[in-house]
Amino acid sequence: MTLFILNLLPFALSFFLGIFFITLLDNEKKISSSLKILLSAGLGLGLSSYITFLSFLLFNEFNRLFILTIHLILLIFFIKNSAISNIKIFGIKEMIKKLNIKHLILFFIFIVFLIPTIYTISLYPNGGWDAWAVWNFKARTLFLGQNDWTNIFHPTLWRSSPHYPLFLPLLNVWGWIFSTTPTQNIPILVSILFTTLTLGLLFYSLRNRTPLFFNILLLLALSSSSLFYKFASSQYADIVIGFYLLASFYCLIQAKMKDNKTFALLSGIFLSILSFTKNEGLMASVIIGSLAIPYLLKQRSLNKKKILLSFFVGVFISCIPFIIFQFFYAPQNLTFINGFESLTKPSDFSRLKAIFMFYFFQLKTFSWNGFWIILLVGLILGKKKMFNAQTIIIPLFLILYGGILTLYYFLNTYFDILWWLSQTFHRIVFSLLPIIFYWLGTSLFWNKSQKEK
Amino acid sequence: MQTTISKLRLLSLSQKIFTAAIFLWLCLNLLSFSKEIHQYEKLRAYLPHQFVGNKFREFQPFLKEIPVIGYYTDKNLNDLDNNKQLSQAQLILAPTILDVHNIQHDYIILDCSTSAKTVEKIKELNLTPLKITPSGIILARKK
Repeated sequence: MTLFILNLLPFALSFFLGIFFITLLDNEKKISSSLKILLSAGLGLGLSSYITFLSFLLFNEFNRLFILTIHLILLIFFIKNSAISNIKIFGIKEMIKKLNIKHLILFFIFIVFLIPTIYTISLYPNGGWDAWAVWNFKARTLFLGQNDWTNIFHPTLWRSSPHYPLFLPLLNVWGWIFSTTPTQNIPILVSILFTTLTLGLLFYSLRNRTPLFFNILLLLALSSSSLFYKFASSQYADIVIGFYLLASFYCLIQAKMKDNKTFALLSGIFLSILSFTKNEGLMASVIIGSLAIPYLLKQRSLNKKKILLSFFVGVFISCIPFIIFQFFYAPQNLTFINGFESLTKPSDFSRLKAIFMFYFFQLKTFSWNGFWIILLVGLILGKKKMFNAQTIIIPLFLILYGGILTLYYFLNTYFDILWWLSQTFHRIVFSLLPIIFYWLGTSLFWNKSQKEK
Repeated sequence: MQTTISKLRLLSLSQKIFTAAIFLWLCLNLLSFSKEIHQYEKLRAYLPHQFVGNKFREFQPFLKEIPVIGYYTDKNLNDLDNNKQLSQAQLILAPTILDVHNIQHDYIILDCSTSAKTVEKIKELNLTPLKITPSGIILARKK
């Protein structure tokens, strides 16, 4: 029991940090309590990962005292400020008053969503290949390595992708702050936490747009899909990407719809956290950041420039850890050969053909019980609704992301293309699932007269 | 139940079709999941042994504060099982880094295909074995 509490305590601290931060930002009180809980957890975990990184930057090692002190200072600062401003942090009384049997049923349904993921974790507590070879290995080295933590960038570790950003390993290290040994419980807890947050945010984001039974059906189908639960339980960074991608898009769309600067700021913050998760996350955040400019400016609101400014303030503040990592620590990508320049491994037509053949066979085969068919059915049924002004940024992102990714598969000739695609393509699709279903759900049930609550 | 049915009636045709498609997808997913559970439960007893990195735990006490050691093997590291063993050994022995095929370090892990080859390598590199695992993997130090 003590161990369980000690495992949960760091994440509880992160959550409180996030909830105080969001409450102070949300002075217009546009964010509901349930949404605040979901976004606060994401924001708090991001902040904790950043503070842990700061310890390595300042002390060149994992310094528990410093990390805990910064957390406590921030918490005291936020509590003091909320007391001065007389802000209600949770609105617990109001929440309890509203609770009824429907909420209890929903809670149990939500537990059901997590069953396939938790069952798979019980079979593979050490996670998938990249969990031990990349993420958990880096986390252990950061936790135990003291001044030698930079060994994770050693060229001999090319199999562990030393150039990858450190968000997930740092978060695991934060989870071990009250432990003497790096137990497996924390990476497991982190993957369950992000799975819960992703499903929770998807459920919430569709709540006001789609009927409840559809929402439950969709989440049950998604969480019981092998594509979902295998990667959600793998302890990879892809579930983290999936969550921050959804959080960033949801807040961006809300910023435009509700003409709200807090949502814009949060979207920018989540976008920068996304860039610190993995290289795919970086690519996604650059695309979203570029698309956000025309997306936010193309509206009648008088506040549109202020909203755009808030978005970029969020981006610039929280991208500092990524910039420091990228310019001062990240080694060169050792698994990269520029196929446009290489004579021995050129990007030739056969490679391009192999990429498109792979895509074609994915569509043709009945992968993941017909996921592609579901997607196609949704697209056909949605027609013009799929490209409505509110969610247009999602299909544009998906097209650009897919295009750039295909170009990268073609350009980087280090790996055998079919092996590389078979190892990476599915997890990329997995990280896109939350935004794909958010897009499909909101667009199909989109109504011009419908105003989001 | 009645409310759900009445809400279903309010849906447009395209929304009804999509809901039906999602329902079908859910049924197929549940069917596959139950089949997988059946298969996995048969294998559950063997699954912990899949994590081969555990056999390297015996080397941990010898490698405290040693930043980098050598990892010598005559096995093909492109083979999935050998590569998996190396990756899991790296995880278990972290923060010590395993420098693959570099025999210049003071400490070296030897994982040869036969014991004769291991003995030969130990003699060649003038090593003292410190620990041998039941599977024949050796942690050795230069004399």
